[in-house]
Amino acid sequence: MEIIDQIIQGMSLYFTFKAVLMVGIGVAAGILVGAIPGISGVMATAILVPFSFFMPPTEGIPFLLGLHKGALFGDSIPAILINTPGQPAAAATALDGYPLAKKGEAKSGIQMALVSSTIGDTFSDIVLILAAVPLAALALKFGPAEFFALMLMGLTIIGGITGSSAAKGILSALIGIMIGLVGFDAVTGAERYTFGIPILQGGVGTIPLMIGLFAVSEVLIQAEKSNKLLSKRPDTAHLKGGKNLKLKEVKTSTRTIIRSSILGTIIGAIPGTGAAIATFIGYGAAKRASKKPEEFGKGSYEGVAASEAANSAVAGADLIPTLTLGIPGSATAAILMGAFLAQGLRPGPELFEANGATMYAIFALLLIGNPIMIVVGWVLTPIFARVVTVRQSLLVPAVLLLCLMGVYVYRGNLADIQVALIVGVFGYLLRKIDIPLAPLVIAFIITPIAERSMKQALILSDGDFSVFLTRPISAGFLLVAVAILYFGFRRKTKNKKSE
Amino acid sequence: MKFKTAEIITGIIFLLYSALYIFWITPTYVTNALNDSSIQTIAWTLRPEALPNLNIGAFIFFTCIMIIQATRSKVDELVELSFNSSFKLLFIIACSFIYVALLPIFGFLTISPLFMLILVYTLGLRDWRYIIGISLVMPFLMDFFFYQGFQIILPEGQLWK
Repeated sequence: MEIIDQIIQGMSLYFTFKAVLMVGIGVAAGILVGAIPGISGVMATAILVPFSFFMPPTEGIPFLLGLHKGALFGDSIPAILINTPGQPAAAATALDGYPLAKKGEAKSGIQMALVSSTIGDTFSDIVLILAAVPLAALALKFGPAEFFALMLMGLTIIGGITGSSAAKGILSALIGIMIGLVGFDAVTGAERYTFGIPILQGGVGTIPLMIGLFAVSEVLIQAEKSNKLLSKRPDTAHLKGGKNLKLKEVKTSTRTIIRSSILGTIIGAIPGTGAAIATFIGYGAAKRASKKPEEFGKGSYEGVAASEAANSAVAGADLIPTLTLGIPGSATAAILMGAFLAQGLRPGPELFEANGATMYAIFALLLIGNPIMIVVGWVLTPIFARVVTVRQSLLVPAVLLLCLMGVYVYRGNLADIQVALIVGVFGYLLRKIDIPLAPLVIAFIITPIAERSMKQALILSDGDFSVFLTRPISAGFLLVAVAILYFGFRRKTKNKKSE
Repeated sequence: MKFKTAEIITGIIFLLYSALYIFWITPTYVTNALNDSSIQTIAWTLRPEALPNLNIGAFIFFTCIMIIQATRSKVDELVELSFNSSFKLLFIIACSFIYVALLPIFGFLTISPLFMLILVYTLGLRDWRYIIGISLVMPFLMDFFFYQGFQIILPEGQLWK
């Protein structure tokens, strides 16, 4: 009965015309920014998240959910039109999307990406809804020791399997913890690493860190290209005209879309695996199972459908550990978690107890967001796609200006822009030596929660560290963490041997 | 520069930073900064520097692993960084910091067109119609959007007050 009450309460709070409209605006904004060449879905989310801070939760949360969906699909537009994927996950889409565009079928190619992306997203949303309540209920039974061990295990998975080497992934997570430790200690209230700078007393701001790491560093990566390339207008002669997607083409790809949705959901539910792995696995599986494998790479609708469905399914599944355990599964989920925190929602098992109504409203909005995405995407993509015709030398400064002002509006403090610039340069250097950024952001977000759990467990055991090893579930999590580290390093050694 | 050389240099910088963190930053900005004497008497594991110390220990360990892996690596990839692009990046970063420093003085609408103009020119565009057009339109559009959409006033500049 309590659940039904919460669902009704959630509907009355969030199921308004304004909330649905905000989902639509979020989807449109996500598609527009995601469509800018060189801007990934993560970056688009980071740039647009600050706007949600000026909305009440009943509008801000729907906006964020729409944004999450739109930014994912937006990535596929430059990948298909001009062969410029914003992130590795969209590279699989470009494999067939760009040849389709070259054949004069850009419009139907993008529509196929939209349809398969929406189906993949819907599938993973349903799995999220079914898995969330039992998982959160299980996590609620954990004490602080188990919870800390679980977070440590999550971080080890993310650090151990993200990027080219386990050591670099773990180092990235440790840097994230270091940054997350700035500010007041949750237990003693002591100030740490603030260097006497007042703005650091509350810790490094989430938005300056996110925008700095993902957006400013990306601007620097783009700016590094030769001026000739940056000031050249993209070749878009092949984009004129084109036919609409036919039902027959969707029907032919149905099995592929379902297969990729399942694969993406399974892979996405594991923190840190990322959309890139899922899209290429989905693409590979589709090629093996296809009746016309020879068409893959030459402009196959199935190829576009396979990668886009897997990519979007990852996004929904990413939210499973984020909402139920408070451990973001990816950089985008970490940004969303930071935004939810700013909206007064603390993702984790307690969320269902403290904000049950909001939780069910989120589930409903996630589902409602999918048909909205189809409509908004279908109508507005032809207009938004024009952004790919703009020269990079005009886009890069405009994006930088938008990033800097996005950081400013977060707290109205210019010092935050300086923080974002410093973090951006740091992020750029980390990317140069192949240190992944996702573990850093995720570790930064969960450090305060993890430290609080650690200290609570230690207070109960009079400061004895063995509490984490004597409790069976906690010990189990730590054992899994050690095993993941071991296999992470073994993977590296094997890779080196094969080189 | 070879990729593995870049990794080794990064590792050494990380180790030097770790030494600074252990011997200067943590003692100065955490341990000695504790005003409450009761914190000094609690168990080591509950003190505010407990997690930072554990974290930096792990950081040193994994940095050493990264260095060892880099020294054993046979991959001869190069880090993509040319002198021209490095200079361009340094110039853009410097411009951005100067822009932020000048924002409170001159205000967003005065300094942003100039900032945009410099960046667009630095990134290779030479068509002045576009350069001036985007440099003027973008800041005014953003100012309008932020104010109309969210009632946010971007920095106005002390000079004009």
